Amino acid sequence: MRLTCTLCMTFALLGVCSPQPAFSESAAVDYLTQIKPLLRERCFACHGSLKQEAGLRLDTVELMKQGGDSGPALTPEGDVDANLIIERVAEPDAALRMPPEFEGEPFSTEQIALLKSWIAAGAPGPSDEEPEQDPRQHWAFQTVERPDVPDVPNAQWGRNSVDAFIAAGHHEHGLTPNDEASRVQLLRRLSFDLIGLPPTAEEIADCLNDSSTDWYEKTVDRLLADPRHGERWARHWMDIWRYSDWWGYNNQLRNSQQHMWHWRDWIVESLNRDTPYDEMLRLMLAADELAPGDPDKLRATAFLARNFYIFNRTRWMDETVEHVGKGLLGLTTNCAKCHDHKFDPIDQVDYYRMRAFFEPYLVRMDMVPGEPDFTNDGIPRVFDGLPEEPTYLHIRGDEAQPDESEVIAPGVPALLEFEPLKVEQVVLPEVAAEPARQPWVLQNHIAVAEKKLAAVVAKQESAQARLEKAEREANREVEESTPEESPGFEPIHETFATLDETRWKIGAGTWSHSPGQVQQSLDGPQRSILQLLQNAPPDFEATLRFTIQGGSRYRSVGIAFDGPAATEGQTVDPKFLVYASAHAPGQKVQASYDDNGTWRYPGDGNESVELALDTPYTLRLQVRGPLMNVFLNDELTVIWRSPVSRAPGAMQLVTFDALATFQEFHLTALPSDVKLKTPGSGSMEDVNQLAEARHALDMATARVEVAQAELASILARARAMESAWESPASKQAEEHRIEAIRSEQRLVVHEAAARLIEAKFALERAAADKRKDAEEKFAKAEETLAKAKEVLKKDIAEDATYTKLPGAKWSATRFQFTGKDDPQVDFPQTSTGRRTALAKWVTDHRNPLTARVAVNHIWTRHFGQPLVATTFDFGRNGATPTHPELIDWLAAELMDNGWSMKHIHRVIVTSSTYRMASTTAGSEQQLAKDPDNQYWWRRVPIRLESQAVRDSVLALAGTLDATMGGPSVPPKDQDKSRRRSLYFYHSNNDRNLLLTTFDEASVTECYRREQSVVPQQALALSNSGLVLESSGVIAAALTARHPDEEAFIKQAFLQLLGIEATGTEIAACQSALSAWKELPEATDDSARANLIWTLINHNDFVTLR
Amino acid sequence: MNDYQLNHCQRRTFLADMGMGFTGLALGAMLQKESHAHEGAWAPPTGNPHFQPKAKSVIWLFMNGGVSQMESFDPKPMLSKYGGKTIAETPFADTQDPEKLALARVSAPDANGNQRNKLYPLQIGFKKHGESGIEISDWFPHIGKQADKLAVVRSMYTTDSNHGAQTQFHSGRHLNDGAFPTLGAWVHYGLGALNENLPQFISMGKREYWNKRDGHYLGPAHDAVPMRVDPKNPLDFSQPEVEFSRSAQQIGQDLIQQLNNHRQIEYPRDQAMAARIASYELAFRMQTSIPNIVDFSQESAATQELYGLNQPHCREFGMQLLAARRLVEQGVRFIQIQHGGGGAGAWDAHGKLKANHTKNSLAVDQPIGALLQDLDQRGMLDETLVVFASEFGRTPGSQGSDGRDHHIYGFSVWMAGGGLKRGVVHGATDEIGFHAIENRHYVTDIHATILKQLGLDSRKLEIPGRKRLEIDHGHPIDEIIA
Repeated sequence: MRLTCTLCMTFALLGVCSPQPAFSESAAVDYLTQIKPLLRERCFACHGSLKQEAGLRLDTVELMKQGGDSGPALTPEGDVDANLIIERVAEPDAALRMPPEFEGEPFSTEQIALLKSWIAAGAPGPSDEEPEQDPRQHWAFQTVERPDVPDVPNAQWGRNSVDAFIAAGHHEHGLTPNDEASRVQLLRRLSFDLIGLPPTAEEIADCLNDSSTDWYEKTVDRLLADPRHGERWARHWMDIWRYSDWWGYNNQLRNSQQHMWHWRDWIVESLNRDTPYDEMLRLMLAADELAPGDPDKLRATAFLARNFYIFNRTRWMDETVEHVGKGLLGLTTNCAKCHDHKFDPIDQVDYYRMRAFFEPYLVRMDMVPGEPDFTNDGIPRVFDGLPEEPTYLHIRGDEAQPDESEVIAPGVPALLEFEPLKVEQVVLPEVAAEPARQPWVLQNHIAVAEKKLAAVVAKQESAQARLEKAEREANREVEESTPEESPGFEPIHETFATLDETRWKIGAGTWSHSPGQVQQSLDGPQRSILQLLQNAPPDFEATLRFTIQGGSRYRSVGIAFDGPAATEGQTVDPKFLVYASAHAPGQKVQASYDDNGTWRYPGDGNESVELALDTPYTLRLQVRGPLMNVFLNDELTVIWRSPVSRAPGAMQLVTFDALATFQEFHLTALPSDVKLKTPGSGSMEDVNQLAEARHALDMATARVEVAQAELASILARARAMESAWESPASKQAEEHRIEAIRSEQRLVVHEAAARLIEAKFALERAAADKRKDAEEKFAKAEETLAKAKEVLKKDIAEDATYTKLPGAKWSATRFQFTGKDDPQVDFPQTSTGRRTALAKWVTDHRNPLTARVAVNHIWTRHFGQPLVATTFDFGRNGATPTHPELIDWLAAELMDNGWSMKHIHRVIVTSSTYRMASTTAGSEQQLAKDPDNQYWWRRVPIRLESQAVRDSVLALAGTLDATMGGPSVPPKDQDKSRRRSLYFYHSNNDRNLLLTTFDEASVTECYRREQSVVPQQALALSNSGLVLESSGVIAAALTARHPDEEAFIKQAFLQLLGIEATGTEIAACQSALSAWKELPEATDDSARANLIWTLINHNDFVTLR
Repeated sequence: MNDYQLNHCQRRTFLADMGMGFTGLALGAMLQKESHAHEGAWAPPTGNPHFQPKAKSVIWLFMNGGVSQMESFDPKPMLSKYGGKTIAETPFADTQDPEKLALARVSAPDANGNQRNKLYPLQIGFKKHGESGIEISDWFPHIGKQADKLAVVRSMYTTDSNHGAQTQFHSGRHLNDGAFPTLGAWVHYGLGALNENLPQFISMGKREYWNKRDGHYLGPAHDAVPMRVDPKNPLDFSQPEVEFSRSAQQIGQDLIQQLNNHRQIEYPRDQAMAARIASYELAFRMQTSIPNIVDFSQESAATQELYGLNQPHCREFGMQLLAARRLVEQGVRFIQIQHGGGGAGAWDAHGKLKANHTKNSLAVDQPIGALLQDLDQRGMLDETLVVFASEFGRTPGSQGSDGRDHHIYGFSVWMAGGGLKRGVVHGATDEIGFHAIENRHYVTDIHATILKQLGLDSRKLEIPGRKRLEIDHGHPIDEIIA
C-alpha cells in the first residue's frame, strides 16, 4: 500500500493522476456525512444554536423529532412525505418553501431524495449527538483571561511560558521536540524575521565567535533596536491594513490617495518607537478626533483614507466595514451586508450599525511645510465632513433599496458589547476646521506668490531686451520666399470624433481614444507618434489643439514633418519637429531638426512661453520652404529659417515625455498669398516685429503688476486671517478684513487690465473677418475693467468676506454622476466622535477579539503557521485554534505589557519553540503522530516574502540603498532603484514584476501571504538582471576576503544560505567551478559569480529554515 | 495502508493541482492543513474533474470594446427598414418600456446610460451559411464558412453599460464590486495540468481597461501567464537579462538540482523543496517550450496562410490564434486572447462604426475561421471549446451620425467545439436586436457552460469565507450541449 501511495503522489506531481471515482454513489445514506452537513449549510443559521426560528432546532436528530411551534419536524415512523421537514423543503410555492427565498438555495431534487431515503431508513443518528454550542460560548467571544501556565514534565526543554504551552501538547501527544537549529541558522532566522535582511559576514563571524551564554538574547536586542525592524514589520502590517498607493484610470485618481507614503512612514516610525498596538489602532481609526492638531499622528488615518473610492459611497463603506472587521477584529461582518450572518451572532442591522461609525467620514489633504501644491505633497487624512448623513439598512444589501423608515445609529454587535457604547461629539481645535492656522500654511502661500513675481519680473526683463533688439533690427531688409506649387491638397480637419485608422497610423506610445480627443498616456523620455497616413503638402499650415496633462520631465507636444514618404504599417523618422514644451523651468516653443543623425535645437528657433498643464493650447505652424512661423494661441512665437534643406513628406503628431491629449488638428496647403515673417525682418504687412515686441513688453509689465497685486493680496489676506484668529472683532481685525477684500479687488483690476492689453493687441492685428469678434472682446474687456474699478470705489458690506488661503484640500468625490466633482464639503468645527467610540471599544481590554487577532498575526509571521488558521475569521466558521490557551496567554501578555509588540516579539523569538530546527530527518515517529506539526514539535520552513527576496539580493551585494522613508519609488524608476522594496509604489494597478512573481501582497486583501512555488520564480531568479549583476558583485566581495576556493564556497554557503556546507556540497561546487572555468572566455571570477548565481537559485536562499 | 499513510496521501494529492505548478502548496495547502473548523467541510481541488469532462481546453477570444450584435451574429433587417425613425415611431415602441430597461445599474459616471432611440440601419449585409443556415454578417465570411460548427447564443445580457463590464464578463462581477477571480483562474484552480512543460493558463493580447490579474482571492499563482508571439521575448524573464551563456547556465542548473537534492537528506519530506526542484525543471523546459510554441516555421506554408500570417491586417491575431492551437495541442488548459486592447477597446465604435468594424473584423475573421477549421481537421475541436465574446453589444439606435453606443440588454456570444452542438442558434432578441427575449442568459451562464464541459462544479471550487452568489455561478446552457 505504501507503494501505491508513493506512486499516487508521483503521478500527482506529474499531474497525470486519473480521475477518481469521486462521483460514484453509495447505497446507504449516512447522517453524519450526507445529511447533517446539508442541514448545517441550509438550515442551522435559523434553526440551530444561533437562532431558533419558530422554536425549531435541526442540529440533532432528537431536536428535529422534538420539533418547534408547528410540531415535530421529523416523524420517521410515519409516511416519509408527511414529515414536516420534507413538506417544507419540497414545497413548490417559493413563499412557503424552506429555506426562504433570498436566504439560501432550495434543496435540489437529489438532496430531497437523499433526505427522504434517510428518513425512510428510520432517520438513524448517533446516540450521543450533541447540539451545536451556544454562540455566546464561542471561545473567541470570551473576554481574555490569562490562563495558568501549564506545569510540564519536560521543563528543561522550555525557556519561557510559550514553551510550557507547547510542551504540554508534546507531552499529551507523546512528541519529542526537535533539537535547536544551528547557530548560523538561528542568526539568519532572527535577522530575516526581525529586520528582513540576511546577516552580514561580520555579524556571522561575531556570532560564531561569541562564547557568552547570552549571545542569542544580545542578538535579539540588537535587531529589535535596529530601525530596519520597523521597515520589516511595517510591511507585514501594511499587508493586513491594505496599504495602497493611489490608482485609477489614466490620470484620474479613483482609489486610495496621493502621498499615502506618509502613513507608511508613520507605521515604520511607530513600530520602531514601539508605540502600543492599541494606540496605533486608535490613531488609525480616529486620530482626527484624538489628536486633531498633530499632523504626525494624523498620518495614521490614511488607514481609512485608503478606502476612498471616487464613484461609489457604498463600495467605500463596504470595504471599510469589511476590513476593519476582518483585519482588527477577526470578524467577517461583511457576511451580514445582505442578510443576518449565517454563523456568527451578527444581524444584518449590525452591519449597518458598523457602517454608521464611518458614514460621516471623508478625506482631505493637509498642507505640509514648504509645499503648497497638493499634487506634490500633502498628508491624506480623514475628517467627519458629513455628520448628518443618515445610515440606512439596504434591503438584501441592495444600495438601490435603502430602508428609509429608520436611521441606523452606530453600534456594535450586542454579544460583543460589554458596556453601552458612548458616542460623544468632539469639539475640534481651531486648526482642524481652519487648517491654514498651521504656521507654515500662510508662509507657503506667500513664498509661492513671491516666486511667481520673481519669474514674471525676469520675463519682463527679457521682453525689454527683445524690444531693444527688435528696435535695432528694425531697419533690416525684408526677405521673401517664393511660394511652392502645392497641387490641390484636400484640407484635413480632424476633430477626433473617432480615431480614424484610415487617416492615422498609431505608432509608439500608449494611445487611447475617446470621442473628441486622443490621449497619449505613456510616461517617460521617448517619442510617441500618431502618423498621418497621407503626406503633407510641401508648403503647409498645420494647427494642433492640444492639452498637456503631465509627464515626468520634458512634457513636449508638437508636429513633426518631412519624413520619408509614409509607408503603411510603419512610422518614419521625420526631419523636423516643432513643439511646445511644458518642462518647467524653461517652457518654450522650439523648432528643431535632424542634422545628419544629430538633433539640433537652435537658439534662434526657440522662444520662452508660459505653458500650463491641463490647459488647452493651439500650436499653429506655417511653413514655406525653409521658413517657418510658429504661433502659440495665435501669438506669433517663433520665426525661424532652417539651415538645412526641406524634404517634404510624412507628418506626425508627436509627444515626448508627455501625457497629453489632442483635440483638433487642421492641415492645409499654405495659400500662396500668406506672407511669412522672416527672422530679423524689420517690417511686415500685418503684424510687425516691433509692435509685437512692444506688446510683449506691455504684457510682461501687466503680468508683473498682476503678480505684485497677487502677492500684496496674499499678504493682506494672511494678515487678515491672523488678526481674525488673534483678536476677532477687534478694530485692527476689521481694518485687515477690509484691506484683504480691497487687495482682492485690486487684483481683479490688474487682471482685467492685463486682459484688456491682450484684447487691444488682438484687435489691432485681427483679420478683417475676425474684426467684429475682436471688437466685441475688446469692448467686453473694457467693460470688465471699468466694473472692477467701480467695485473699488464702493463701500464694503459688513458681511463681505475675502478668499481664505487654504491649508487643506478636500478629496472630491463624484458620487452624483454629474461628470464633475460633487459640491465642496466644509471642514467642521466638531466631529461626531463615532470613530473614537469605536476605537475605544476595539482597544478595550474587555474586547475579546482585538488582542487575540493581533498576537495571531504576529505569531503567523514569526512561525509561518498561525495558531488560528483563518487569521481574518475568529468567528464560529473560522478555524479552531490549535493552542487556545497559548493564544489567550499571548493576548493577555500583550495587553498586560502596555500592548508592546516588541515585548511579544521578544517573548516569541526567545522561546525554545522558536529555536527548534525544521529538519524532518529521523522524525518518523513524530511525523506519524503529528504529520501537520499541529503541536509544534518542529519548526516549519517559510518561503521568504517577495520584498525579502529582492532586498536580500541587494543586501548581499552591498548595493542596498539604506535611505528610509519618503515618496514611493514610481514603477518606471524601480528597475534602477536600490531602495528597499517596501518603498516601491504599490497599488492595484502598478506592482513590480519581480515582486509579483513572489506572491506580492494584493492591496485589496492580504491577511496572509501566499507561499507559492511556481516556475516563473525560477525564471525570475535565474534570468533577472538584478540577480545576474549582483552575483558578480557578491562573488567579488567574497573573493577579496576568501581567495581560497574552499573558503570561498564555505563562506558563500554561510552568507547566502545560512548553511555550513558539507563535504559533498563543497565537492559538487568545486567540480562545477572547474567546469565553468573550462568554458570559453571564462575566468576564476566569472566562475565564482556563476556559483553565487547558483546559490541564489538554491531552495534555501528563498527559504527561512 | 495504515491511517497515517492514507491521510498523508490524500492530504497531499493537492499537489495534483499543479496548474502552473504546485499551486496547491499555496492557499489550498494552508487552508486545508490548518482549517479544522468542521469535519469534512472543505478540501482544495484535487486537480481532477468533478464529473466526466467533454472538453479539456478553452480558447477564449475576447473582443475588447463591444461588438455590434446586429452586424455580426444577430442580423436585424428591421433596422434598415425603419432606419432613421425613432423607436417610438416603429412597431417596436414597447422595447422602451421602463420596466424592461430597469436592468441597467448606474455604477460609474462614464456609463453610457443613454438610450439611442433613432434606429441606425445595418451597415453590412448578411447571408445564411452552411447547412444550418445561420445568418452571419458579411464582415465575418471566414467564420461564416464554419457556421455549422457554431453554437450561437443570441440572447445574452449584462447589467453595466460601461467598460467595467469587461471585468464582469470574466469574473461575473463588475469593476465596482471589487476584484474576483476570472473564469480562467477558476479553471486553473480546479484542473490539473496536462503538460508539465507549459503554464496552464495563458493570456495574449492587450488588456488595459480591466484589471490585469486573474487569481485575486485564489492567489496570484492562478493569474494568467502573459505570453507574446514575439519569439525573442515570449515570456517575462524567459531569457537572461544580462549575457549568460547557455552552457554556463546548464552547469549551474545541474548544480542547483544537485545541491537541492542533497538538502533533502536533512529535510526528507519538505514538500516545498520538492516542488521547487520540480519547478526549476519545468522552468528550464519552459525556456525552450515557450519559444518553441511561437516558432511558426514548424507549421506548413498552407497553415500559415490559412491563419493569415502573410497578411498584415490579420497577421498578429493570426499568430496568436496559431499559437493558441499549438498550446492546446500541448495540453494547455485555458488560453485567453484579447483583441483590440488599449483604452476602452478597439471595437468601441461610438462613431464611424462601419470603418471600425470593417477594420476589426478584417483583423480577426480569417484567423478565427482558420482556427475552427484547423482544430476540426486535426480532430481537436471536440475537446477544445472556442468562445467568441465581447463585454456587451451595441445600440440598435445611432450615436451621432454613424456610431452605436454601449448596449447591455441583448447581445451575442458564440461557442464552438468542446462537446457543444454544432450549427445551432439559441435564444433570440426582439426584431430590432434591443432586448434578449428568448432564453435570456446572464454572462455567468457562459462560465457555467464552459465549466460543465470541463467537468467542473463551480460550487465545489468555492473556498471558505468566499461564498459565491447564485448569480456568480450561473446556469449551464444545456440546450446547446450535445
